[in-house]
Amino acid sequence: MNLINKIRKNNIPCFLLKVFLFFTIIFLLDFSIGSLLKYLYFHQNSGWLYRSSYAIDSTNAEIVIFGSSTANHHYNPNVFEKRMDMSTFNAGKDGQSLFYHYAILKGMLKRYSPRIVILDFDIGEFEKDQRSYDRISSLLPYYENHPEIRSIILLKSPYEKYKLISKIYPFNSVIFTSAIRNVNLNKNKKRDNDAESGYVPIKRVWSQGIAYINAPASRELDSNKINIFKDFIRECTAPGVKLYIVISPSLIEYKYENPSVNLAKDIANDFNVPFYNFSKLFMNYPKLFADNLHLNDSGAQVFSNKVIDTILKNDSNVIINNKYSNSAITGKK
Amino acid sequence: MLFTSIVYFLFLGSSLLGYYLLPSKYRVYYIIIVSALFYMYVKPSYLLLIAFIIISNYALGIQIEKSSYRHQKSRFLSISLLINLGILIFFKYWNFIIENVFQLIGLFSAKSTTSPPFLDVILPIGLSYYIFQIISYNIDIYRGTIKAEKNIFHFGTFVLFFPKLLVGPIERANLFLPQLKKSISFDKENIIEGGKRIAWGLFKKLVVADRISIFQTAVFAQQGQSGSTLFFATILYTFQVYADFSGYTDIALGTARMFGFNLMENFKRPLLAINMSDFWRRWHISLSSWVNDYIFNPLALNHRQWGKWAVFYALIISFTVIGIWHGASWNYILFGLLQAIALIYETITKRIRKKISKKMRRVIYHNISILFTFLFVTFSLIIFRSTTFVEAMNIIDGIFSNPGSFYSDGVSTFLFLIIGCGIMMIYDIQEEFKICSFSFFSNKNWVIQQASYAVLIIYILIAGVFDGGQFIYFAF
Repeated sequence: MNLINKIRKNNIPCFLLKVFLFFTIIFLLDFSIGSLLKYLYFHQNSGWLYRSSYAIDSTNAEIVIFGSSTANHHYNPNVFEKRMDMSTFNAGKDGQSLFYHYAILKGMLKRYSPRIVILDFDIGEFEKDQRSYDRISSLLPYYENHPEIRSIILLKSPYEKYKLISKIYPFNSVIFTSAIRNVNLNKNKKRDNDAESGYVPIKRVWSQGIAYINAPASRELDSNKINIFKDFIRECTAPGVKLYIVISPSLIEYKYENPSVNLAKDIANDFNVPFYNFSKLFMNYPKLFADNLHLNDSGAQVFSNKVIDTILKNDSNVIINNKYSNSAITGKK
Repeated sequence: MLFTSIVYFLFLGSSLLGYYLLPSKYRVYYIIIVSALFYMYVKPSYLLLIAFIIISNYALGIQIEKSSYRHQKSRFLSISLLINLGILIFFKYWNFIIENVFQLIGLFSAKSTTSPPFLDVILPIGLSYYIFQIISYNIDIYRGTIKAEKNIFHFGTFVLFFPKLLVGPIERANLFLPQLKKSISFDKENIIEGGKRIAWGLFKKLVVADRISIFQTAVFAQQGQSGSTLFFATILYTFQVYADFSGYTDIALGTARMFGFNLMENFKRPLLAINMSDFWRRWHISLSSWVNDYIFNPLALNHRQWGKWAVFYALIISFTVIGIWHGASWNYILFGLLQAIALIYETITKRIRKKISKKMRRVIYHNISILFTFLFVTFSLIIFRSTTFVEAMNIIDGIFSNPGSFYSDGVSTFLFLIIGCGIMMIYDIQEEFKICSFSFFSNKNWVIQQASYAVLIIYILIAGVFDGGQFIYFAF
């Protein structure tokens, strides 16, 4: 009786009805705005968000380059296309880690197999870093239509699938970028970063010298990243794709033995995958850099040629394939 | 457990459900268990420390009250101060003190081979808040303004109550303890009002503070930014600190309200203050009023024979305490001293400013005052945010001397920043000046009000930063 009186006194049925109505409004708004955001996101035709969609859903390039900003700004697809006579796409994305690269690769392999995959390996790739988990959020728009990448997205947090009940959440923070790309405000701007190549050149020239780093950001290695790295290699070896792992040049001198690099090299050796460390290649050429870590456009041109030279020099298979027949290569293009 | 995490909301929902399902006489005990679990989630070993603080201060509070003679009361109060300040100094200030002592010794003697005895301990989260809270409790008993709490569970709840445990407000015993004596029953208004407050807190924290933080990090990570960029970033930092801290406080107050408790307000639209005295009546009120009651007033009264100088002296000491309360670093002390200088200046120029105000139109004078106060706060926050004095000077120098173009991270970033700060300030301006009679969020029409809050939540989903955010004030 007491409880019933309390319920009556507080007018709880009416309160619950109002709460229900409030959440219904939220649900309807979330659904409608989320659907609009989804439409805007997948109807962009340029820009950094579009490049992810293009990489995962559209590209058929024979050579695909994976990695973070060092991949995106260091490998000029035009150079690869001219010298290797193969279509090339740069799928590198600023600030991303192996989680992102592996997800894009999985999405890609579901559709077709590229002939050559180049993975640009960051010096501290295996170090524990919460940011690399946070940045998995850029894959959220693909959660619904790409079941093959869901396990990677769930590494972000065990609660992610509950958050994804919201239709807006996967498109968090991209509303203005998507909208601007849809209304095509940039149509008169030179499209030097369009999805056709993925490559984004940096034009500035570095005026300072070498930076020195005495200790890694984190001494602890992340087992998730190590496992993903192995999976990345396995995925590339299984369908007959040729994988090359490359460390890009930088103007940073590391005063310590890098555990990530050593471990990556060992794993690559175990899988018989070529591993090229070019980190000290341009130490005396600051003019090729835009900052300590990134090559500028000229640097990218020189470096792309260097990578091609190395691949052609060390791997006779590629040359043979190129010279004699493109159709001999497996792949559902 | 971050107040903006999904874990927190699961914790809040389940603990609220259990709270209101229990008979009201058991709810206080339930709260203390829930609060202990909350603190254990941060770090289980912290609970031992806080249990020691609760038990010792509970006993000392009773002893202070029971003592018949003044000197006995003083002795017990001294013991409590020794324990509380000792713990605070040990965890928060030891390394700072030792470092500076060794540097001082190094100035006068040959190079020493002994290394300073630094401690490798982690500051328990919220320590500064609950230590100050307990100190005020014991001083109030000593002064006879409150009675010592005889129920250890009530006293424990006063210290441990989880919404205010980590980032305040620094609650007063005379406001909080009486609420525990009343029977707490379910009131839907508490849930609704608490929910609204939490929604605002989330907006300020996720949409405004964390969004600015991304821009800030990008700007200050690169050296040689242009003066205009640095100026814009420092202005934004003022909004960021306000949105971050007041947003967190809103979530704390909203949570407490849901449990049927009213905590003290910590912010009253401080960015609309007309001078620095006004600012400190609106900014981190629980700390400034604490310092006012337990440091400034006693010092000014004890030295009243000094006249104006007593006020200046009390201001310098009080604001040095406010500065160092924020952290064991010289930049915080300097920040506090700057505030004291500003308040001394205001005391000296009070008459002149009054004369000037009479010669100008009130609206113009008022707005100019707000602008100058805001700029001074922004300037002092440069020192607050810098890790070294040199860094602060580089930023100030850069603002006036660095040429170059404005750092642009695209239209999207600016739209997010402008909309976020705009909504927050429009809400504050409306609350302060009641410019418009129509209000979305306080509208008497239920549908308009609820729709406004629904839109607010949707905007948080669209524009909130959900990853990697840490509350700036956690460091204190």
